[in-house]
Amino acid sequence: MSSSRIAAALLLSLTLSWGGADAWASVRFRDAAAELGIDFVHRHGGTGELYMIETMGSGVVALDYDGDGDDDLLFVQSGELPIEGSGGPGGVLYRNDGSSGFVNVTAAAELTLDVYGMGGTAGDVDGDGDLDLYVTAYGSNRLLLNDGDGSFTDATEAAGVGDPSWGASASFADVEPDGDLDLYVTNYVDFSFDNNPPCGLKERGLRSYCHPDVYDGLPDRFYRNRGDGTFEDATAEAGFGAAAGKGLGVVFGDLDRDGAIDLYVANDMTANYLFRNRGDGTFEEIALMTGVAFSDRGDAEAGMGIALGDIDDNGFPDLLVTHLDQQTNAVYSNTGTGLFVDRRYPTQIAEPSYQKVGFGIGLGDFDQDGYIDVAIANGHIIHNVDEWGATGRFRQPNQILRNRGDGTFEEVAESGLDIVLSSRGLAIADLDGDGDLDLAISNSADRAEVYRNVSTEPGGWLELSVIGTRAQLGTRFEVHAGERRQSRELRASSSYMSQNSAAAHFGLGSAPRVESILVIWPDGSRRLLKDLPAGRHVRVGR
Amino acid sequence: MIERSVATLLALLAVAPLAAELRELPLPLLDNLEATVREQLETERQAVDEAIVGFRAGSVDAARMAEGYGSIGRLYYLNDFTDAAEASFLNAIELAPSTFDWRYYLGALYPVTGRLEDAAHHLAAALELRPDYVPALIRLGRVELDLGQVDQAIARFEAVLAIDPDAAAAFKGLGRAAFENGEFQQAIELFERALEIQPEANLIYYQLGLAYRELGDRERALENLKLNRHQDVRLDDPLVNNLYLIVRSAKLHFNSAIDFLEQDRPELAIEQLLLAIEKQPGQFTYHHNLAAAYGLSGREDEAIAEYRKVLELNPAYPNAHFNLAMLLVERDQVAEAARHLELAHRYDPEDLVAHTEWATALSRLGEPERAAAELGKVLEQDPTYGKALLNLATVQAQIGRTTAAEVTLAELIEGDGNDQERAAAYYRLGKIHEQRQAGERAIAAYRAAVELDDELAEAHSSLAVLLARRSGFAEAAGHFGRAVELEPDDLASHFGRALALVLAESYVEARAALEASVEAHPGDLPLVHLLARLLATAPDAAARDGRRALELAQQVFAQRQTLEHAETIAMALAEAGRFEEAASWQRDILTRARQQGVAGPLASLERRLAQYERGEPVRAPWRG
Repeated sequence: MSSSRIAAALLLSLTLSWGGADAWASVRFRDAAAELGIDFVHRHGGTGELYMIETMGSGVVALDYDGDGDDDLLFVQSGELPIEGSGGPGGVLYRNDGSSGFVNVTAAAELTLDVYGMGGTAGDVDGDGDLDLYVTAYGSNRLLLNDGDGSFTDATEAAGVGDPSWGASASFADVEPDGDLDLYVTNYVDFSFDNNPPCGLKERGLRSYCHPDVYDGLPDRFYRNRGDGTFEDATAEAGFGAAAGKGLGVVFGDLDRDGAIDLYVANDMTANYLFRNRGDGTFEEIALMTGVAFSDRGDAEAGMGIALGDIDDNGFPDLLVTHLDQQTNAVYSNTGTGLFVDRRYPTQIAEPSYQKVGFGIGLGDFDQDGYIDVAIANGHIIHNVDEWGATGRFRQPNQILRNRGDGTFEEVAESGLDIVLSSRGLAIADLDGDGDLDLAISNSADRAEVYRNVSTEPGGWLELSVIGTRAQLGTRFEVHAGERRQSRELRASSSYMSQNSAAAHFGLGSAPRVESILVIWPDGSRRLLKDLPAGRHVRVGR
Repeated sequence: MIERSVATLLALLAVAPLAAELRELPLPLLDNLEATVREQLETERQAVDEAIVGFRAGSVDAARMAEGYGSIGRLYYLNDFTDAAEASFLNAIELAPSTFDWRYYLGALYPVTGRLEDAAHHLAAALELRPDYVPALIRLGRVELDLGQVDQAIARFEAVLAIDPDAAAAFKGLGRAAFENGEFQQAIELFERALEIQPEANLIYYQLGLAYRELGDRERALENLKLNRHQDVRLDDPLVNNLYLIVRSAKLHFNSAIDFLEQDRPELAIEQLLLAIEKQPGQFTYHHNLAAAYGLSGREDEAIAEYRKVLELNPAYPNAHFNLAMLLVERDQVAEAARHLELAHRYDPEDLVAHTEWATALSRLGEPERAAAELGKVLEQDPTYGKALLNLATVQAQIGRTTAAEVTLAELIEGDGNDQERAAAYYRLGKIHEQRQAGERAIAAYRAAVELDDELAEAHSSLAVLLARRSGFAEAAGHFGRAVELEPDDLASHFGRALALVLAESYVEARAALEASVEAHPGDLPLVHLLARLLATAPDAAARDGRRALELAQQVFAQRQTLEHAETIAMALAEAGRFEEAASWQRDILTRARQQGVAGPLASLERRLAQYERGEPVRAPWRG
């Protein structure tokens, strides 16, 4: 080969590499919890009896509770075991004060959570323009109404949403739609302090937390918002009566793009549920036939966290579900025909998860190259698994899987997620207001992690949010920039007992401008915005 | 001396570059392992460490060193120390690149850690050394499928089939490949072939369902997707299976045995459980599983003996009492079974199954009143427990309280029980109606039973009998046929089906059914005789075959010399055109009938004699 032909070949390869996702530098995060003022430490109150509830919590919620345009953080706390009394305190709220970081405002916000907390979700339940909170717990869950002055009032009893069993993830959506937010709560298993058999490797004297198989699943709850500050338990009436799996993860989203919000529930070692909204607020369970109940091998897996987003750009949101080690995390690719195909191996998302126990999971374009990446919070359930003699570890590294832009993902080796603890909840939001996506991660019986995104040479970005809170959840944005068309849907809880920012973040790659933004409101009406510059937060009103 | 030093130096120089490339073995934390396993690993590790010193000094050659690394690697592999196993196998490969085993184990290890590319590399390299090792081909094919290398995977599975045409794992792999390629009909055929070879590999049903789903066949998709599944296709892998023979861990043997039990391979489980017991004799759960494995492999005497050992070790273990009792019940040793069931109930009062079985045993021991009282206690704990309701109804009927039995069955029928339980309740209700001569009500109950549970054979046969009595022969034949499908050894239903078809004048169908029945049960004389009779006398020519009729009739007559069987010979002779011989047989039959004082059939015997004398065959197989 002549030197000119070699040069030509090199040039061609360079040109090709610049044309794809490879153009963008590696994703990089930096631990910034102390710098941002987040000092949350999860406590489970364990005394050595190894109650299963100790190892399952807890979640983290990104929400703009004070309406100042940036995301605050609620870390759900487990606290004292509710053997006698209610346990808790169930959460710590941090207000985002912009450049000066976060401030613990739990007391100021009168956030009296006397519960053994698990997860949380936020939404404007009473339609008064600010975000309210729902916190799940082992014991009665809590609804905290935002008073609009920086404080919250417990309205659980009046609203009738204090399900007393072991709540895990919960989420809000307007499923009818009638203009107010309804609530779905997953319940896990029928553990009780009186029903706590010794589990683990008995012959080696290693007692551990029990496997969920030891217990029966609990029925989930669906609460329909009456619009007057109260809810009715419409579980059976709405079609959720058979939902008695061991629910840990939940997400609302319009999976079949028919304009009605559907629901997916990840269950632990029992079949997952996909509830299709018939359009009138009643649902039918279709997971088995659509292919999202089990792995493509037919196994029920330990479903924990869920992420929902269009990772293959076909216009339909795909489902990613985290699992136990050896099971691998699932990618249920939405074909747009009402069917899903398990593509965990073709996407190369399975392989990096073989030795990880995945909990929280979120989607975001961290390097802003126009392709959605994946963040996963990992950690084992068994506190003494390191002593079992095999390769399982209680503390496990968290992971960033970068979208190569060709339908496959690769684990980012030097992501900067350097703190190795046993992680549970994960939320994604632009916490430092610099336009890229940061991470908040809660850990079992340990300090929380907050990471700033410090990726080098990221692409351009655009962040879209909705003015006001009433029409927020369920709104979809379709952005056309350069050669790329991307979509995002605003939703409440996903991940594991957690909630991401209610703003939609788009990576734009090298596109200097956004040609168009189509806003599709929850009621189906649309609005078209044209020709916006990159690098802006845009708030869209109706 | 100088020469020797130089030689040593040269030897060291020769091995030094190689040694430098060897990986340091991690030291796994062994603190919480079983003592025997820890000891085994420490001993082996010490031997390897010493060999490394010798290897560096030139006193241990590369082949021995490789063996040392490979051996410790296998132990690490078995005990899930994947990092240490990987380093050990890599070193073994470095020193003995042409040894198949180390590459193979490494290739088998990597998928567990998610390193599929590495697995593919080492499995492919192993196959270059031993191209016909089927488990390596299967493992590589599976890894390639997961890597999206479908064409390569197909080549692996086809290579397997060239070696073993009945390898279910290869058909399943090819099915997955066809699915990936969008060839769903082909995928279905391949999955079905795998299931034909290994019906117990029920995980395949899910993939079969997905393939039907892709073809738009919703009904068959759901039918397969809904099936209960737990077992993957079996892969016989001597290299991995034999590993369990080298370990000293009772727990690993036990785990391996559980795997074999889940794969329905009780004999292999027995081997492993015996090894586990040898290492840890006092562990009653090992004995309990051994007893179960004996039971599954049909070695009931050993199973019973083993359950007794379990109870010596742990007299309060309710599962052993229960399982032992169930084996004793099968042997009609009901009294001893009842004692164990009572203990199973005592040690686990919430076990309603044991309580119910105990009550059932009491009723079999002639204590129905006590049985009814115990069943009442079960129902106090769970008023909807179907089996208790059913058994209570049976006991009530037994002691003549049929009205109470009806009420009990109605409770079950109207409750939230599953279809099988409700079907069984209808069946027993049918029996009560039959006892009361209420045939129509019995038929209605049986019909309800089979509608709820099409697999309830006894309901089908009971319904068929009543229908046949009411001349509903065609419908009766259908239910007898279903009973035969469900219980192929139910000779009464075989006979009933054929007779009902004959009486329904469906002679060709009757012949086909009888041919199938006789093929399945060639020694059953009533079936052979009925076939002979049909072949000789069916009004439909397509159902007749005189020569074969005669052959069969003679075969039966050789074993059973009755007038009826002799007459069939006469009928067959007539059908074969041998009327004189037929008439001669018939005269002989008449003589014997008169001698025996048999009066009833004389008229018909004489009528048929006249037919033969006129050169006419009989054309009424049953009512002539």
